[in-house]
Amino acid sequence: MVEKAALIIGSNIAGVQAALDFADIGIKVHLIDSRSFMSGSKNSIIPNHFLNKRMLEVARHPKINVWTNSQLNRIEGEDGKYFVELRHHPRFVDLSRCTACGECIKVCPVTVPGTDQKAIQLDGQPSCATIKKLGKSPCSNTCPGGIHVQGYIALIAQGRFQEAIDLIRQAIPFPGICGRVCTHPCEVNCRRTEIDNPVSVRLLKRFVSDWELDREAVNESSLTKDILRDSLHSVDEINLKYNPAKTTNMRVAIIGAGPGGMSVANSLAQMDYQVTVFEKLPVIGGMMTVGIPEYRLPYQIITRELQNILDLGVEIRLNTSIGGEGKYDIDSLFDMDFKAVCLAIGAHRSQSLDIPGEDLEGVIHGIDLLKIINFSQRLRSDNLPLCLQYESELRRTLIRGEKTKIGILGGGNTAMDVSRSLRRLGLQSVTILYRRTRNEMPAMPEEIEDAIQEGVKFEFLVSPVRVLSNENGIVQGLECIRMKLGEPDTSSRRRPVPIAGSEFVLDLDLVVLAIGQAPDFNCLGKTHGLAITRDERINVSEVTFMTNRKGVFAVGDAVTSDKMVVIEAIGMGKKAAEAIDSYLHGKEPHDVVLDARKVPIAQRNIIPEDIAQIPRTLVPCIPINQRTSSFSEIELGYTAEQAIAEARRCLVCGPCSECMACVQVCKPGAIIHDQHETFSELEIGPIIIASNQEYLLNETFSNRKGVNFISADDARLGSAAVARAMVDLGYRLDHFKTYPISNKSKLRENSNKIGVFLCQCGEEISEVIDFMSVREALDEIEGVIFSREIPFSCSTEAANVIIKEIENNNLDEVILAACSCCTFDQICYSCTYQRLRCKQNLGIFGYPEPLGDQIKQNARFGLVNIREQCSWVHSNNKKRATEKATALVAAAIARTRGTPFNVENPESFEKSVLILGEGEAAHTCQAILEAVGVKVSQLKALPEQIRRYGGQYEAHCQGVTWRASGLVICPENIKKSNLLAVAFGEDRYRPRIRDLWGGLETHRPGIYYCSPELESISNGEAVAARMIAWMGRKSRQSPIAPHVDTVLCRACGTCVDICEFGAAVLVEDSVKLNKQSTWYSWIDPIICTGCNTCVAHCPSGAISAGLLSDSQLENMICEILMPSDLRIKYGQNRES
Amino acid sequence: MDKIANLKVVLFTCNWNSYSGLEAAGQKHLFYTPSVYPINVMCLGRLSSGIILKAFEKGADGVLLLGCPPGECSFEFGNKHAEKVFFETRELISLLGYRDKQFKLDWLDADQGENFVEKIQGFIEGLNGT
Amino acid sequence: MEPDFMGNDLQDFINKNRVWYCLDCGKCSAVCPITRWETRSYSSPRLLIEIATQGQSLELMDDPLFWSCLICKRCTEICPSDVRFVEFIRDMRSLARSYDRCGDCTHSETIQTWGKLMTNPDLHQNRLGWLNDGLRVSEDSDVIYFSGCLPFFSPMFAYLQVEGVEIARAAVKILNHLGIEPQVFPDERCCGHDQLWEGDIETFRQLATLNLDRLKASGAKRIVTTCPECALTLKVDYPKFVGSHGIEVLHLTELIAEMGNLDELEITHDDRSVTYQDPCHLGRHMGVYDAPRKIISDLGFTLLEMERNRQTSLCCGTSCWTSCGQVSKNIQVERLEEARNTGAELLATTCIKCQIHFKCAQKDPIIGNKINIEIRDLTTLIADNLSDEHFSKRI
Repeated sequence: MVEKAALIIGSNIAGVQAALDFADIGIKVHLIDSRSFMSGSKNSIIPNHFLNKRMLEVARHPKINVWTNSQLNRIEGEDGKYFVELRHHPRFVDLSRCTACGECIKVCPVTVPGTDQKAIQLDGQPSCATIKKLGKSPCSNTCPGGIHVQGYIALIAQGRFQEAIDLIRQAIPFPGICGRVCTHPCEVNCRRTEIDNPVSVRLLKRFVSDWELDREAVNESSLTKDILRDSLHSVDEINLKYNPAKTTNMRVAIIGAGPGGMSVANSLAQMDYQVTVFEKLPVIGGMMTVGIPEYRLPYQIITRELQNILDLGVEIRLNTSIGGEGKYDIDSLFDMDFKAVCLAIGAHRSQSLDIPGEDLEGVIHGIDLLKIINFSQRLRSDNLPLCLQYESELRRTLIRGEKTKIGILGGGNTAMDVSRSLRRLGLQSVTILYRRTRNEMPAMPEEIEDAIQEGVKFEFLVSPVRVLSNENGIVQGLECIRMKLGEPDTSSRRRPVPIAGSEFVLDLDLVVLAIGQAPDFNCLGKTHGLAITRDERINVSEVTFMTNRKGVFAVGDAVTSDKMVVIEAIGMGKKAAEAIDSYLHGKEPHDVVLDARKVPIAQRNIIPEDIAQIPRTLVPCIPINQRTSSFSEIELGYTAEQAIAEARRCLVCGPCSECMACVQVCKPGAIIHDQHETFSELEIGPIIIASNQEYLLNETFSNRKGVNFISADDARLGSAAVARAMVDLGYRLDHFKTYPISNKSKLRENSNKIGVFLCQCGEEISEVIDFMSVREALDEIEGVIFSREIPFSCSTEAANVIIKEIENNNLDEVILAACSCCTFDQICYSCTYQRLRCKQNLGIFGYPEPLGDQIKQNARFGLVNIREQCSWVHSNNKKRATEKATALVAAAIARTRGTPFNVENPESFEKSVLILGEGEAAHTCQAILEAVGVKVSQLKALPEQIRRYGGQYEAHCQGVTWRASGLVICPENIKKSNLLAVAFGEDRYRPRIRDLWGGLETHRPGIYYCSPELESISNGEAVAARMIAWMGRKSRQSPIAPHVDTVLCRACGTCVDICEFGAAVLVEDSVKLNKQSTWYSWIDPIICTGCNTCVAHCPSGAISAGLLSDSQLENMICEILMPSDLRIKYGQNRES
Repeated sequence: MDKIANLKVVLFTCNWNSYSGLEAAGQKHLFYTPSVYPINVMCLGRLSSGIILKAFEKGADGVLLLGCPPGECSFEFGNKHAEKVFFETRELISLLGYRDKQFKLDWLDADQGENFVEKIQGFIEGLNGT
Repeated sequence: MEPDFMGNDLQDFINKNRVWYCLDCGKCSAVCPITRWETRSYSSPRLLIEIATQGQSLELMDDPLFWSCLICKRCTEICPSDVRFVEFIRDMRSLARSYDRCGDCTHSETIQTWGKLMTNPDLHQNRLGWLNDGLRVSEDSDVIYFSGCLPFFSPMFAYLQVEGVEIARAAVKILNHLGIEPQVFPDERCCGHDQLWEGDIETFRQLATLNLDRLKASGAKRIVTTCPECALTLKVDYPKFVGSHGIEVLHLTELIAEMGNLDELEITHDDRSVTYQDPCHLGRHMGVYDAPRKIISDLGFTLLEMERNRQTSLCCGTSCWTSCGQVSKNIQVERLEEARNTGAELLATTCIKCQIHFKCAQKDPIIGNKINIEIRDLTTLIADNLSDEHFSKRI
C-alpha cells in the first residue's frame, strides 16, 4: 500500500515542523503558502540563522514539495482521501536560475504603494526574487500599441528618460507621432480619474521622444536625411533603399506607407524580412502626412520616425501606385517573388453627399483640401517644385483669397483640421455646418474648443439641400434646411429630422465636404478579387488578418470603419506582422486576443480619501492670439521637471510596471514577465492547516479524518498533528522504504584525473579574480587535466556541462570553485538556496537522484567558496584576491584528493522505543508508537543506570536490562525527572533539553523529553512524532561518524570522557589474548554527530575523522601557505 | 601595510557560528586583508595541537581560531575542548619562541560580519607589531 | 662525515647489520615483546630477517612489526650471532620513507612537528622558563646539562601528571649539590633520537648539526642528560652519523655513581620500597644497570626487583611516538602488573618516556585499578631527599 501525500498549509514554524516530521518518516509532503517566501511569524523568538537553516532543510528535503504563491482552490473527498486543486500565482522569476544577486531590485523604478519594498523583492527562502504583479495595469492593458505604459511613466518619474523612450520604441515605431496625435485610450482608463484626473500619458510620451530628438539632433546622420530629400526631387517612381542587408530572403510587399503599413513594415523588418512598401504619394506617412495639419503634427517628426524604419532596411517606392493606375497589381507582386502582400491603403476616398450641385467647381473634399494645404506647407524644404505646384492650386481653390467665404460640412476631426488650417491661412469667414448639435460631434472636444477659440463659426442643426451656382457654374452659395433631433439611430446618436419650411441660403464661395472617407479600391485595379464588406471595407479574419486571397493581408482603415486612429493602426500592424510571419513559416497564427484574456487587469485597491489630489500638469501652449498667425505647433511639450512631476502622479496599479529594467540587468535570465496563473491537482491523505488565512477550509472541515488545524507558531503542535494524522489514517512505518545509505567508500582510492570548474557567477567572481592566472597555476598541480569557467554553476545547464565533462574525461575528482562551500549532506547557518540548488543539481546530497547516482560512481566532489570568501571581500585588491583564490582552490583539491574512506556507516536499526515514566503523556506516546508499528516497552520504576551501549540505549533496573533504539523520558513530575537524570551518571551525560523547536529534543540524539509541565496529550503525541521522524532520518542519513582503528586503540577512554552525546563506548573484544581480554572504543554511528572532537584528543591516533582527516588538513595547510611563485615552480619541477 | 600584505595567517573557523560570521562578511562585501586564509572544520573541537603546530611549521605568521561562543557550541562541548587544546598549544609555541599575539582563540556569534572583520583586522594589526 | 651510513638499499643494510648471520634459532621470537601481543599476523624478528633475506623489501616494510619494533634491543641481547636487528630496522625505516611509508604517529604528530620546527636555525626558543632562583647555572661550566624535551612534555602531558620540568629542576639541584653550576642552552634542540630511529634522517641531521655547533662552541668537557635517549644519541649517533663533538656524555645516574657516594651529600633517608624499570636505552643500549640501583639503595629505599630486570627487563611498550596501540598497551599492562607483583610502593625509572607511557596505560577506565602504582623518576626522588640550603662539597 502506498500512503497518500500530506498537504500542509502555511510554511510557518508549526507547518515546517510538521512537514519535516512527515518527510523524515518517509511520507511525501506538499507544503503550500500563499506568500512568495517561507518564513516564521515575525514575532517568533527563533534567531534568524536557525530559521534560515530550517527553511533550507525543507527546501532540500527530497520528500517535500514547497509551493509558494499557492492557495487552496478546491477540495473534496473525505475519510483521508482528498482531492485538492492548488492555484499557483506566478512568481515571474525562475526558481532554478535566480542567483539572488539583487541587481533587479536596484534598477526597479517602482515602490509598492504603502510599503518600502520594490516591485521586485527578496525576503527569506527560497531566496529567489519575486515580482509583485496583480496583472497588467489598465493603461498598459488598453494601449492598442501594446506599450508598457506604466513602465515608461515609472522610468520618467525617476528621470530615466532614455530607458523610457527605448521601452516605448520596443512597442511602437512612432513615439513622437503618438505623443502628439494619439487619442490616448490609456488616459481614459487611468485609475487616477477616481481621485482627480488622469495622468497625461500622451504628453509624457511626447516629452521623452522630444528629449531624445534634442539629444540626437547633434549627432544625427545627415546622410540618411539626404537620401530621403534627394529622392523626393521628382514626380517619377522613387526607390528609397538604405542598409538593405537581410538574413532571410523572403520578401513581403506592403501597399501604403501610412501608420498601418509602416508598422507592419517595421515589425517585419525587425523579424528580418525583406520588406518593400509601395506608396502612391510622393511622401511617406499616409494620412498622417496628408490629413493632419502641421500645427498638430510637425512634418519633421513624421519623417524622422519613418527614417528609423528605413534604417531597418525597409525599401520604399514612392509615387508608385499599383493596380489600375500603376504598372503593378497584386498578382504581379507575387510574380515578383513577394511571398505575401499586405494592403494598408487607408481610406482616402471622401464620401459624397448626393445633393444637387455637388460636382460644381468650388465644391471640394476636405481631405483633398487638407492635402493641398499640407503639401504646400510641408514640401517647401524637401521638394520645392511640388510644393509650388500645390501652392498655386491652393490659390486657385481660394478664388477670392482671404475674402473667400467657406462653408464646411461635417463634424469630424477633418472638419476641424480644415477649418483651423484655413484660419491660419488668414481666411476670415470659415463656417462649420453640422446637422446635429455640438454634443453629437465626433471630433475630439478639445479640437472643437480650439476651433471656436480660433474664430471658426459654427452652424448647428443645419443640413445642406443643394449647392447654388451662378451662370458660369461657379459656386455662389448653399441652400440649407434647419433640423431638430429625433429618435437615436444605429450610431446611438439622435437622428436629425428636417423642420419643414425652414430652408435658407448661405452665401459661400467654397463648399468643403468633410463627411468621412472610405478606402479607394481603384488603386488595386478592377480585378483585385477581394471580398468587400457592406460598409465598403476589405473583409479579413480578425486573427490572421488574411483576406479571401491566400497570402494577401490587410490592415488599417482599409479593413474597418471603426474610428481607426494612428495607434490603432500601429497596433493592428504589429499583430498583422506576427500573423504574416506565422503564415510564412506555416505556423498556426497565435491568437493574440486569447493570450490577452489570460493576463488579468491589475485591480489596485484605491481609497480616494487616502490619496492626495494633485492637479494635472498643464502643458505650455502658444497663446490663442498668436496661433492663427502661423502653422507652428500649438503644444510646446513638458519640461523635464514637469514631466517628472506629472509621471509621479501615477498610482502604480501593477504594481509592477513592466518597465523590463529587471530583465535588462538579470544576467542569468531568470525573469519571466509573461507567466500565467497555473493550477495543479493532488491526491492527498493527511491535511494540516497551520495558517489563519485559509478560508476555504472552515472549522466544519476540521472534524474530517486526517484534517488538523493548528496555531502557526507552535512547533510542538505541528508534530502532535503529524502523530494524530498517522494514527487516524493508519499509516505504519514499515510501509515506507528507506533510502539505501550512500556508501562513500565506493569511491576510488587515488584520484589521478581532476577537473576544475570556476564559476563566474555572472561577473561577481570573474571581474575580481583573474581566472586566467588561477587556471595557469592550477594546471601545474598534479592530476589536474583541465580547468574551465562556467557562467552560473547553480544552474541546471552548468550541472549538465559538469556531468558531461565527468563522462567525457572519466574524471575521478571534480573541483567546483563557486559560492558553494561543502559537500556535506547538511545545511549550516550560512547556507543559501543557490548552494542547495547547485548541490542538488550535482546530486551531491546523500539522497539518490537520477543525476546524483550517476556522478557518485564516477567522481568525488570538492566545493570551495571563492565569492564570499574572496572576490566579494577583496575586490579592492584583485592581485591578492587572485592569489588567494588560487590557494583556496589548490587546498580544495588537496582536501578532496585525501578524502578518507573509513567513514562508519550506520546499519539500519531496530525501530524500538523505551518509555521511562508513566502518566497520560507516556500512555499517549506509547499508544501512537505502537499504532505506527514501533516496538515499545515502558519502564515505570526508576532505573539505577541508563547508558548507550552496542547501538542501543540500556536501562538497568533491579537486575533487569531494558534495551531500545530510542528513549522517551516521561516523568510524572519534576522530582522524577531529576531522579531519571541522575541515572545517566555524570552531569555531562544527563540529557539537556533543547527548547528551540518545542522543548522535546535533548542534546542526546534519540532521547526525547515530555515535560510534565506541558499539556500531556499533545505532548505525548508530539514526542512520538519526533521519535519516529528521528528513526526515519537516521535510517537514511549519509555516514559522518569517525572510524576507530581497533589495533591502534588503547582503550584509554579519552573519547568516552569527551563525547557528551554518549556515542563513544568501550566494547570488549570477543577474543582473549594471553588470558587477557582486550577492549577498544567504538563510535556509535547512529548517534554520532560528527564533531570529531574525539579525533583530536585520541592519544594514539586510533580515531580518524571521516569527513576531514589530519592528512587532509595538513595538505590544505601546505597548499594555503605555499608561496604563489613557488606553486608554479613546483609544478614545473614535477614536469621535468 | 606592506608588512601586513606579506603576512600569511591561517584562520580556523567552526562550521557554525563563526563560519556564518565569515560568510556574512562576504554577503555584506566587507573588506578585510587577503592575508587571512580560512579553513573550515565542523567544530573547533576537531583541532589538535598537532594541526596547529603544522600551520606554524609550514610557515604561518599567525593562527587564529574562531569558534562558537561558550555555551553555544553546535555540538554542546566542542568549544570547551578547543579551549583546552588552545592553552596547551599556546604553551608549546611560546616555548618554541612564538609570541602570544601570533596565536589567538576567539568566539563569534552567528551572522556577525562586522564583528568578524573587526577580529580579523585586530589580529593582523597585532601581528604587524612583531 | 657519515662513515657508517653507506648504502641505500636492502642489500647494503643486510650486509651492514650482519643479517646474513641469522641462525633461525628463534630465540628473538621468544623474547620480543611485540611478538607476544601482535594480533594482526604472527610476526617476529626472525621472520622479518627471513623476509629481508628473500629480498622482499616491501613485504618487510608492510609487516606490523617493522613499524611497531620498540628498538628495545631485547632480541640483539639474546642473539647468539650478533645480528644487529634494531640497527637494521632503523636503516630500513629510512629507506621505507622513500616508499611513502612511515609509522602511525601518536598525539596527532605534535611531537614530530615541534622537532621539525626546531630545524629552523633562526628559532629563538623560550625553553628555560623552568629555571628558578634556587638553581645555579653558569655560562662557562665544564658541564652541560642537556634537558632535552622535558620543558615540552610538561604542558603536553599535564593531563597525565608526568614529571617534566620537575626532572630538569631536580637534575640542576643535584648538580649544584655536587658543586656543579652547569651550562644550559636556551637554543638547545631536540636530540633527534626519535627522528633517527623513525627513519627521518633528514630532520635528524638538521637537529644534530644545530646541536653540534652549539656543543662545540660551549667549551665544556661533559654533557649530562636525564634522558637515556638523549644520552645515547649525543654519545653514539652524533659522532657516527653527523660529526663528533669530543665531549663526554653521561646520564645523570652515571655521573652521580662516578662521583662517589650519595651518602656524602646531605640526604634524608627514605625507607619506602621501590622497584626499578631499566630503560632500554640506558640498560641494553648503554649497559648502565648498577648506577641507578646504587643510587636507590643509597637513598635508603628497599629495591624489589621485578621478575624481568637488567638485561632481560621489559620495555615500556612504545618508542618514537609511533604505532602505540593495543599491543603497546598490553605490554605496559604486563609490565605494570609485574611491578605491582613485587609489592613495591614505587616504580622508579630513569627515562621520562617510560613514565609517560606507563601513566597513559594507567588511565584505563576498566583495568586501571589493577595496574595502579606510583611512578617516579629517580632524579626527582633524589632531589626530594636533598636539603634545599645549597652548599657544595668537593669529593
